[in-house]
Amino acid sequence: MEFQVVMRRVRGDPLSLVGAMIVLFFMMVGLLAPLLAPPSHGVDPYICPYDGPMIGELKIYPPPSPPSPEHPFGTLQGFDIYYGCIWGTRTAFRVGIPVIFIALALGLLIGCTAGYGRGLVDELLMRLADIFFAFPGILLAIVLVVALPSEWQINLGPIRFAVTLSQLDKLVLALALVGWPSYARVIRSEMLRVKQEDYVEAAKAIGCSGFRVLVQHILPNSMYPILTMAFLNFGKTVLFAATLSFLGFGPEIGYADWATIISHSRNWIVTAPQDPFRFSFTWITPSMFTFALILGWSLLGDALRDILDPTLRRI
Amino acid sequence: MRLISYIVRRLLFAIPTLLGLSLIIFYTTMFFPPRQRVRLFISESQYQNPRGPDPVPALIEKYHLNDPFLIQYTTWLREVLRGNFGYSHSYNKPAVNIILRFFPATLELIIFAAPITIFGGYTLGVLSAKRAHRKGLHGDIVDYVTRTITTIGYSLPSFVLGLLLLVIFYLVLGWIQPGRLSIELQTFVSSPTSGWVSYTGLLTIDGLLNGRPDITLDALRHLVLPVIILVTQNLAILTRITRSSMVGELVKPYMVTAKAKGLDEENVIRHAKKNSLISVLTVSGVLFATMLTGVVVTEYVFLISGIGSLVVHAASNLDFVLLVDVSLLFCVVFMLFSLIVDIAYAYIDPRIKP
Repeated sequence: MEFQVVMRRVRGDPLSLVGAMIVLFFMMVGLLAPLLAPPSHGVDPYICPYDGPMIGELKIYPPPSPPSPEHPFGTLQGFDIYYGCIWGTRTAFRVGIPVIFIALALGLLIGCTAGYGRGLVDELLMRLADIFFAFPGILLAIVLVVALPSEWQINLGPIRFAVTLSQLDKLVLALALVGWPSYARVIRSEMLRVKQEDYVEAAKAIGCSGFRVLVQHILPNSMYPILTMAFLNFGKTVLFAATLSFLGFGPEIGYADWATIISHSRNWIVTAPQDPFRFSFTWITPSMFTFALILGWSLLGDALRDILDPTLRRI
Repeated sequence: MRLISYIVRRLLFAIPTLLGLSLIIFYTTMFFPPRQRVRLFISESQYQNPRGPDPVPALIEKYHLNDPFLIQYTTWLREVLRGNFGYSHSYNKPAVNIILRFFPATLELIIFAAPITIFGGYTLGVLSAKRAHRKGLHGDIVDYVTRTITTIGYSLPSFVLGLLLLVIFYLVLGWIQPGRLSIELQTFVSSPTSGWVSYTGLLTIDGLLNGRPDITLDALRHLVLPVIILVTQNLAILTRITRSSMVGELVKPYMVTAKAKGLDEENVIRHAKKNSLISVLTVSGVLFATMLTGVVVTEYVFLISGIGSLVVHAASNLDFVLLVDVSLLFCVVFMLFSLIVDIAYAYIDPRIKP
């Protein structure tokens, strides 16, 4: 039944079919990355292979070289763009998925505490969400990427350990800290709604503990909207991460990340005024990858929004 | 009268949020050592004294930089309220001066981009929804084209569009250079002997006030591409939201009532328009945020010296004083913006009383 509704909606709107195909394509590329662009042994597979002059350990970045049989998409400062695009697909998922999960977990924790606690706790936590809302997202993300330390000493009495954060981890943390308030607000209002329901009242009447009512009755019935929201937010998150990466707050050159490649090819665009498209291969391919993934996701999202909306379901 | 008391009440409610914001902003600087955090307080380069004793330990003592967090925070807040916004080490100037110098370029961009976005997006959304309503769920060709364009506009990263426009219009066609003015005019404007007076900092207006319409025209020409980038993404978002809320309104029972009363289509649509505006206002905060993201990317790509490129510059040079001040500025701007939105709610929806 459910499947038939989905299929009918997808058949009725070819755009959502296109979206689904694009998303599926990127998932395949991400999964098959080791086959499509085999990494050499013993090095981090997310670092693009470097093919250029070196003095000892020091890389002398050469100008971009155009596509050739050896490097199908060309190279940027010696790094293979094809490899970067293929493994960049994994990077996109590796950034997007943790961001969504961390933001969701934070939002769930804070929203649930607020919605279940009521009173002063609710008031304080929701003001905290308001404060994060009032902070323009891009600014907060940039401030956090700059301010987060690379090494974090965690000292919880008997438990002590140090966490090292790579530039990419900082990006993930910053994006998650920007994203949680919207989840917190939605889960809170959903909980306030579900708490009024008769079955919650009934569960309390037969003597269920508060924790059991929360976990078994309220949570499962108020999770639905934020799970949808989280799924739909993936495309937006990838776009946000790419923007920050482009501005120079992402991983360093050579890392397989679409926006990092675009960011560094920007320096080469104006170096050839007499031949404007000379170095365009360096940024056009990764741009197309970025655009296609976000486009696919938003096309799919449009269809899913209608399907997952219970009020429209049987129309 | 009721409106004034509402505004006052809203402003009072904004104080705790602003305090919370400043707390978070200040907390992010705690990751830096006290020696660097001194820059949040001094207004001159008094700590760069090559001769004589090192003044920094005394300053750290004076501003309680080794004391507990809350003491540091209150010291800082007091200085900020006094108008001391610290010192930017990457520009070697007081942070306020830098922000004031960079702000007009951003303001100019927004003055041109915001009206186009709002009117264009709203009109397109209403048009698309009307077509969709008339022709069933999927609409006709106008609706289809609008939806395709908005989906593409929404998914195309603004930096990709920026690079594309830069290559086409600057390198291929040679029409426009990056920056706010052509090089000769830029040298004229920035030279102290030229007699150029910067009344507002907005080049389009200053050009007219100085009796130099050619500068106004040149500034306008340089604004075209950045404004296109700023508009594209926001227009797409606004069109989508207007369309979906309009489609939602058009099937509500009051529309049938309006038709049954015998109103012509123009007037029937007007009922729905007003109600759909409410959901557009609800997402105006999101629009503000995407606009700001657009500003940062656009200024970075087109080398416009506005707040956006200032943020990128400050962040890459770890000039956290500038970041703190710009954050404070934009949080205040956003609070004022949401106040205006709330007042607009009361005007549009009679159920909400100020």
